[in-house]
Amino acid sequence: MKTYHNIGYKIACFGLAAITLTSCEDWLNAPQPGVTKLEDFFTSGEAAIQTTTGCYVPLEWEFNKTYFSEWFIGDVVSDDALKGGQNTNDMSNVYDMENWKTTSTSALLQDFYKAQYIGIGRCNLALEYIPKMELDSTLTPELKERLLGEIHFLRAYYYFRLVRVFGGTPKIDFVVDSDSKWKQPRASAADIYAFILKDLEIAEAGLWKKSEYPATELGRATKGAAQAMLLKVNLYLASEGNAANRGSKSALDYYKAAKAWGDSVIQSHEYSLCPNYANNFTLAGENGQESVFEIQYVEDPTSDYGEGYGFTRGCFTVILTRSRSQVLLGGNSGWGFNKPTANLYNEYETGDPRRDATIFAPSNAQISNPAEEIYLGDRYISLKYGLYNADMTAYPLAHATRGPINNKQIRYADVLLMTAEAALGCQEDGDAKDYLNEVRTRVSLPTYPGYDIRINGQTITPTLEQAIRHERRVELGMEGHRWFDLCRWGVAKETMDAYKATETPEAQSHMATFIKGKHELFPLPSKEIELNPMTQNPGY
Amino acid sequence: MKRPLLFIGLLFCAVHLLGQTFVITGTINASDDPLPLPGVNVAAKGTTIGTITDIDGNYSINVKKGDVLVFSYMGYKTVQQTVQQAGTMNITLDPENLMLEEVVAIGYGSMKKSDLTGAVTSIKSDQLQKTPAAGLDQALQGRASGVTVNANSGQPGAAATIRIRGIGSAIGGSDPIYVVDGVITSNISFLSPNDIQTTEILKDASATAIYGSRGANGVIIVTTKKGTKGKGNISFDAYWGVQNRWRKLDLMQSSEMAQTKLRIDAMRNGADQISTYLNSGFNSWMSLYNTGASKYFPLVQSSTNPSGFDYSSVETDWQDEVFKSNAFMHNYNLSMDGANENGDYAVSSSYFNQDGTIMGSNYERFTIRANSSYKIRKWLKVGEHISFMTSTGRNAMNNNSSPGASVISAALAMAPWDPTHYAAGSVNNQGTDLSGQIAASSNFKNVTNPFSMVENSHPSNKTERFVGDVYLEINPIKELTLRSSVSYDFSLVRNRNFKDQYEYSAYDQATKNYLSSSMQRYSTVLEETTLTYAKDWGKHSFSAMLGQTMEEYNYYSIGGAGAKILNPDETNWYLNNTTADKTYASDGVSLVRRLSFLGRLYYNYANRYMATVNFRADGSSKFPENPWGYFPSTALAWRVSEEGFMKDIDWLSMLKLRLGWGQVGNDDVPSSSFTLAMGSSSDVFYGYPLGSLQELQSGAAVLNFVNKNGKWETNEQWNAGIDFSFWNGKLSGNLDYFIRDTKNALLYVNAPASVGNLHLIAKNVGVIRNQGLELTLEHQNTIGKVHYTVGGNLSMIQNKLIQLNGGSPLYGDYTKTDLGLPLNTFWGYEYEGVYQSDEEALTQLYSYTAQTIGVHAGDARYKDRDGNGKIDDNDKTNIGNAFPKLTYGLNLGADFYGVDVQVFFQGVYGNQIYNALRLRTEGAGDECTLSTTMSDVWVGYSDNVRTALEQQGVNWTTLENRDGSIPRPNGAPTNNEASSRFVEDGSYLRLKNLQIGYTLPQNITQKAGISRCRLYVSGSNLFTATKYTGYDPEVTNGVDYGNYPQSRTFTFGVNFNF
Repeated sequence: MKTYHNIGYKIACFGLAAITLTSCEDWLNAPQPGVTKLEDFFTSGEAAIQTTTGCYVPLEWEFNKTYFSEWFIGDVVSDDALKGGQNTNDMSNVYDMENWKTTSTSALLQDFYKAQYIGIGRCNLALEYIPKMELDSTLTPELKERLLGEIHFLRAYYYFRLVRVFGGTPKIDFVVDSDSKWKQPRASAADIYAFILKDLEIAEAGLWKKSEYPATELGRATKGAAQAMLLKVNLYLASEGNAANRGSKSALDYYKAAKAWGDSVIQSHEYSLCPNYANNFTLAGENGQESVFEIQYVEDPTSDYGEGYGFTRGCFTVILTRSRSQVLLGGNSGWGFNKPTANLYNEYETGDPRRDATIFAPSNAQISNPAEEIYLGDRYISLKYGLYNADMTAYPLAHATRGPINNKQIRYADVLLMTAEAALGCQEDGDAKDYLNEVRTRVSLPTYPGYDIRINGQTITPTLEQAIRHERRVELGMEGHRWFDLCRWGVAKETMDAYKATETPEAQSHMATFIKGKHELFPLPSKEIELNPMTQNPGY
Repeated sequence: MKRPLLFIGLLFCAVHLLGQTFVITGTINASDDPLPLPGVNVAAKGTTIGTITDIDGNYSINVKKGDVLVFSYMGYKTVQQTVQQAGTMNITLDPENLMLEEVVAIGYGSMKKSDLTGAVTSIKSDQLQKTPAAGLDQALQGRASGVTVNANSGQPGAAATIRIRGIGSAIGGSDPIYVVDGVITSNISFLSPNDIQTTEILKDASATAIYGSRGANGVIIVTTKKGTKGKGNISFDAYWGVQNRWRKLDLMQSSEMAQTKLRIDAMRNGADQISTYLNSGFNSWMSLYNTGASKYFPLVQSSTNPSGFDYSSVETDWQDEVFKSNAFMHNYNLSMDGANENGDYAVSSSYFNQDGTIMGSNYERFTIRANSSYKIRKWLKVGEHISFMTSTGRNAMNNNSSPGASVISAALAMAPWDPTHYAAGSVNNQGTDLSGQIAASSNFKNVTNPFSMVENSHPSNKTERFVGDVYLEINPIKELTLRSSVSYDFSLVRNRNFKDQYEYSAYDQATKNYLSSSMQRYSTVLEETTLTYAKDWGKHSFSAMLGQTMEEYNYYSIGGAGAKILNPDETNWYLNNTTADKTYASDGVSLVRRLSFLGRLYYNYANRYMATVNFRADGSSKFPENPWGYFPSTALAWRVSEEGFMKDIDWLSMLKLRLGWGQVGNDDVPSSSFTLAMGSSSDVFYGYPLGSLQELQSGAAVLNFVNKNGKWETNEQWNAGIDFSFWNGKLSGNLDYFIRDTKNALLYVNAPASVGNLHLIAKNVGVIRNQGLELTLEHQNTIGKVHYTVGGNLSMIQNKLIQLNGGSPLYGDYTKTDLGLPLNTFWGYEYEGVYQSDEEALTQLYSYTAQTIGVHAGDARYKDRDGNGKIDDNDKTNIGNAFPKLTYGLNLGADFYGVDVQVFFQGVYGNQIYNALRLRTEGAGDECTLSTTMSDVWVGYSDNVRTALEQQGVNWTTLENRDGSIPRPNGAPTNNEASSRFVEDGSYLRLKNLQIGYTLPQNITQKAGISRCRLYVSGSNLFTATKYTGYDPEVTNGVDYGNYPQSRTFTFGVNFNF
């Protein structure tokens, strides 16, 4: 309309109008056929559902310029796993990360950072438009509240993924639709945590219970998932490693909040431990009784590599972590990443069935090329996401590199162990033991107290805290939790140093020194600092 | 031209004057028109004796010996001949050299060439028609300064790339627009070159600004043939030609290739294969290689299986197999035209058919065209131009270095010991008879045999296009013309591809037959109205034009695909018959509307001082937030030669200085950059699997927030030029210098990831500069009966991105566009040869240890530019670019005694080509060892391999080549990265065309009712001087992935006029 200010144009336009009897402005600005403008999209309830569904998609992403599955950090960086792969050069970004050699130019960190913000951007767009939408026969008040709950849950989830890896990052809670809004200051980790809690509380209020969803909607965020995340985030803030991020509240305040949210999940009776631990990692067990939140993946026979994010509906984790052995798997073999350490293998108690559900130790005959299958002395194979059959053959993938198995983000066993930890923090030791023992009983292990454990080869009679931490390691091994647990507990330096001493000399020879106060966080990608000036994490 | 003729006339004439009278008779013809000229004045000089020719061009006159007969006719050069004796004097009149009075088309009007103020090049149709080309685009090559034409591809029917004054856009288009009788189009393939009367190329902004937001890349104005006055002209033109490739790569034959490959292979895989080959022979090695376990190969001949397939006797020249010899082309054109004082008409039809030199390629086109106009009233004229074209053709897969995607690359990936088809009696390990079946590749398993590409895939593309306009012209008073026209450009393209079900190898197979089918419809309606006022008074001449145009472009496409047609007969190749993998039909649509106002003022004082001012305002729906653009331009010219003080300089016929400035737009930019759209579908970017069945659910999101305020790119151009003509036009030409800056050039700007989308946003930030010098020279003369012309043009253009303003560098496969570099500069390592030893590698790459270096003896050595003992991205640099320093054309023509000869050279100098095809022949994997240069590949064995070879009785010392100059193909992955190793000099000089014609004497042809009959032979691309080693130095965008080469063509043709 501003063009009307132009007098020349105005005169010309009048001249034309006299000839053609039409308003040229209207004629020029006719809507583009086949293009839905943003403001015209949000007109039906179905649009609200689709927009919400679109917010889940970046959770799935594991590849852009390089693979960036979160377990490369959660497992490989920790004492649970070595990188693996063909040799030390294979996925060199991860080699750098696990040996404390990472720099701010890491392509993996850049990809990971971007993917979370794409998720956040989608949530922000949805939160801008859906609240303003009129209700209709599809968009009932309950549904609208649930959808907004899902979006708040997902935005919190993306921020949580960021804050664990990088500390504070820019807090974007609006639609960035102009380059004048591109530069945003870095928020503190405390601000981000507070923001996450706020989002999760809104989510918890609006979301439906798992049992309230129809079967066709399984996989969406639930009230239980939001409660579990509230438990988790509060527990993170209560933990020693996050002392600086607590704001005005005390550790005990957070323990109490965590305990309360944990109890809500447990008392909802929406979840239970599945009798057979290993069933959690089968296709049949997906979204099962123990599942609180999973990232959904399906067979995707037609995907091409494409470029960048999103060109998949299947996960890469199967092919990335499967054994490279041709003898073992023939044409179904994988790339051998995320190799469990001997240190983890040895921490399982005698008779713990979870060890053999988590780790496979191949015999010499089961290794076809030792140079590529034994990584710095480590021959172990991670089983949980490899889709192996009972006879150590493997489920044949419909696509050469994509697998259908869901990624278990929150299992009920995790909720129990987190609640146990919160209970211990609140000095409610009875509850803590009960929840711990519920997890141990499922795998027929003796209850606490009354057993010894081995850590770094040393046999000890564990304190309740030691027992819970040990249980988290073995129950949730190779599921991407360990590194973040070590950091929040504030024990990364001690644990990693002690673990290093147990590693093979070859593995040790690659490891640099862990610096406390630096290596708990990874550097912000230098590209991002270049485009949006931010203070780098200390030491980088 | 009068003076020299007179001079010659006088020289030849005897000066004996006798009083005897006698009769001279004869016929007068025009050299540019096959018909005899009626009404020509024939007079004896200095007398009152005279006559005119009759309707058949004949005259008869009584004169005295020694009289000088003067033959004059308006528009033709006057001829004087001295009479020696009675008899016949047939005269052919040449059209007057109207260079000064020639009228040329400019945007929305026309102008005397002498009055022009901008940089405009006119090209005569007879020049264009000398090259046997399907389209105007190819025919323009080398014809005009400042215009770079790259034939791009020898694919029949393929369009050439035309760049006028460089490349002005990094993301958007750089193609000029064509204006055919007022219809604006970007695709001129609907027009047969025979139908073209004149072509004007508007180059500088002062000339193109009248086309506003679409003029930035130059404008080519094409005027088609109209009827001329006379009794009506019928002409028939035809040619027939054969085409052949002009070059063949130097490749190894079977045994040499096998040995080279095995020598290399042994470095990695040990002694087994090469010792088998050397000790037990070719067939033993082949049976080892394809192991006999594969059903795709015939069992190999051996002592136990003497009837097996004998690989050692196969010697396939794959280049000969995929390149066809004597590919045929033919063209026919029939046209008729005529005119009287009330109207004119021209109708024509043409048929063009060209077979490609690469198998599986061809093109066929049929056109019809009608132009006419009629004066209904003294003040009212109406007319139309109508043309219809239909074409079909098949494109060869080419210009892709992946052997699955290109016939050439596939041919270069097959081994010379592989037959194209298995010989009779070939049986596989399952006892199946493979006789006649397309052979599997034994060289590299992921290869599609080029024959299966061609024989098992059945693409068909059919285009139908209608372009037409109707117009009326009203002259209420003499000075005022109102012209209004409506044109319609409509095309329908149908693409269908059916692929057979077949199985020739594990890779070369299709488990189901497959059909894809789609249709695209394009239409443009354009309305134009202009009002022109022109008046001369005294020494002043003034004209003004005001105009308005409205345009609507619509695009719609629909297509689908499916597999498994149960009865795969051609009559069943329809989507309804597919029974598996059906995709829903999907459609696409777009709409562009434009509304423009334009005007021009022109003033000329005494033919000396001229000024033009143009203005155009364009409204475009492509830029919703910036719909209006304003494009001004102005130019001044001074005809120095008209000044009084210059009148005495005899040799100077004309001298004009020109200066112009203007702003023009380029709206050919991706419109998706400006429309913020919500994406929604079950595509992987949006959809998410949910529910107990994990069915994919549709999702929605914005993929990329677009740049607000996006708009066209603005080209601002300065031009200074000189037009000159010496010695009465014997030497003429022009010289232009220009600076063309593309401001607001679209580049991608990187957003921080935290904005939450795809992070790359097109924004009008860059500045691209093209500057250059253009020179055109033309000399013509007549000596005796020999008339000859020498014409040449050359251009020097520099291209550079001079401002980024926050934009990001753009990367291609081997190129980078960045600040201070020409667009698409080749970007890579500087190649320094081959590391002759591990120690040498470790010395240069001192940042590594023996364990981590990853580069060894025999690997490529690249220059460590930053000297940090590491080869990484920081060591990449500018290794050349595809912009020629010089582009030129040279045309020589002569005619004498009915024979005409034209020789046309064309070339470029100073550009580079990235020869990516060499990866196929010089090693990106040990199967790529075809080139004969690979005999100098670096070969060195580890102690283990040496020992193993010794144990097998093989003398490894003769197999090694430790001072080889080509990196080992199975070495470090960096060996094949972009580097100066593959950059070659792209300069070439080409004898583009040589044509020799003979016009039969009229007295013979007239008896057959033929007023003119010319026969000719012509050769194209007869000779190419170049250092470039690929198939052809004319490659798309300077990177050669195996481009379809130009062919060497011989044609025979006839021109008849009745």
